[in-house]
Amino acid sequence: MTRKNIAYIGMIIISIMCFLLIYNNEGMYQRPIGKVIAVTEASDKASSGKTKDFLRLEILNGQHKGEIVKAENIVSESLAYKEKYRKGNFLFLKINDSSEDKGTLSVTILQQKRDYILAALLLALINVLVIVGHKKGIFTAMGLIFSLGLFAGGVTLYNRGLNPIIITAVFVIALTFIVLVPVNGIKKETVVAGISTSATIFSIGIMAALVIFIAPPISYEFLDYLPDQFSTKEANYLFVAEILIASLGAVIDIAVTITSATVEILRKNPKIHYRELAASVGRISDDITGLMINVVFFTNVGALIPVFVISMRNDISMLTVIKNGGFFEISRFLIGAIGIVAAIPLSMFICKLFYKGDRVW
Amino acid sequence: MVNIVFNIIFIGLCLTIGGNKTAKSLVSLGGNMAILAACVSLIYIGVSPLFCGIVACVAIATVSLFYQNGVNRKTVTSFVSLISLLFVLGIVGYLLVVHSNLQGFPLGQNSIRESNGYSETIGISMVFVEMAVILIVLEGALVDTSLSVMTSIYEVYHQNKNTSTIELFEAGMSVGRNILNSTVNTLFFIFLGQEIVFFAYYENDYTFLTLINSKALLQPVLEISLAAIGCVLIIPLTSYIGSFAIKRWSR
Repeated sequence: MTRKNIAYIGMIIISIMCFLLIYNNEGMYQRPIGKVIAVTEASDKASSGKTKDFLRLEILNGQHKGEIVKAENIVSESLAYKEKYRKGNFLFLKINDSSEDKGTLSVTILQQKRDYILAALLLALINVLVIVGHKKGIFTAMGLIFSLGLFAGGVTLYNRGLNPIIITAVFVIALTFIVLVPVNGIKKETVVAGISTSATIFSIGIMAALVIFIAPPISYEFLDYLPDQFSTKEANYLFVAEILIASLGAVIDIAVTITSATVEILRKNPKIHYRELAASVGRISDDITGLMINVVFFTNVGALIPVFVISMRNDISMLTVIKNGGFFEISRFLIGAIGIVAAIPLSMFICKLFYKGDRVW
Repeated sequence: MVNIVFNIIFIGLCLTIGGNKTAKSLVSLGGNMAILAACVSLIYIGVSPLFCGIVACVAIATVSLFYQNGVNRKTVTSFVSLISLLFVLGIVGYLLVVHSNLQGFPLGQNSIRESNGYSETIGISMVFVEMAVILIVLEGALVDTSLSVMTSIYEVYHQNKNTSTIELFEAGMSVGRNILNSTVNTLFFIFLGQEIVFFAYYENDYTFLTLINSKALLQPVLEISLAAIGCVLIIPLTSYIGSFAIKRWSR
């Protein structure tokens, strides 16, 4: 049993322990939590397609720990808004004050407890990254954690009033290097790729800003979670920040690939003519461009399927959804795709700039 | 309006910068869009969303793999490992969605609400719709990695036909590990971009504790995590299937 394998098994065991800890963390919550022990469905359906489920719950924490209570849950057939609770689910409850004196408790369901699912997903991802990816996987996982931390910092700064465009600019530069350096090392190649990425993102950003400025104002009704009072200027800033960050990952990918390909070609033939270089790089990039565009497309637009379904069933046409409900996801995809294509010549150009002459580091 | 301009810029760039294959990828992008539109239309008519999702995935793989890269041993092997992993992760995803109620729309959204006229009595199971989303997002991420790994195994084998199965496997794993960082980060940043407004303003509707238990957070996290876990797991899977298959074919 190699040392590496022991380390992996150790990591898996620790992850499982963390998961179990969070699964059983009712004690840490102040709100009462109940575990569903039985569900009975109502025998007849109301005309609106909604039914009532009768749940029996055991309270797991607080002063009523151990008591069995009953609760009702209205469930719809589609479950577009309503949630169907099942045996084994944990639910946050509100104990109705008036009932405490009468002896039998009546409770209202507030929210489902899902923190252990979040933990499970993140732990699974980290474990898989380390076990399959070895060293590069560890660096990727660390990069994700750092990026998340920076992102949280950026959001806090935004809430304190800092301009989102400045935050995004710093974020883009910082993140490019956080992603690139651990995995690729501090080499000239890495720095050049980083500069290409930033150049691409800034170019796209300026282009996007121009388009938004010139075109008729965007309706931000469908930008979820935007507070009721917002200025169009604020929303425009957020929109630009959103589409740039979303495309950052894809642009870094392309920049790195093109940079290393260009460096390879320049290493073998330092005096290569620009046109030949473009042709060679073009051949290499052609393969990956299509696949990257697909990834960006499905990840962004896939999430729109439920929006389409519920809209169309409520007599809103597909075209209207594309123009309104799906506007932001589609923008993110388009900017991502533009970034991918634009990064190719930009990376190549910047690479040639840094590697001109006979010596390639 | 803005999107139309972006569309034009994108297509323009593709045609000027890219070569033949990029133009081809525009066509397959169009194909993929058509598949998505067809998928949604079928769900709208009443066909089971899960069935639509599965068919859409097969169709997408066909367009992305077979149209763009031809029907050959590389693409067929990629296809096989792709579908296998989709199946396994699909089941995992289904169990998680059902257990944690991650279907449908979270509260706190401005746009899709009962009060805005989006009634939820639509006769379609949103659980299966969410499954379709998970499968499609997952597949988008898997195709890229799967084909890259398979291509490199193919190249290594053809350089030296005496390479052992284990060496081929390691070659696939090595290439996979190199692109791992990029693919996972691509997915992660799209997630961040999608949720930026949510994270900036979540305090209007959630506290930190209610946030980490909310459908609003868990739903996109599930979609992206499964995609990321998938694009990591596809590396050993494709390497394994590929290294055996390529030896077999050449007998």
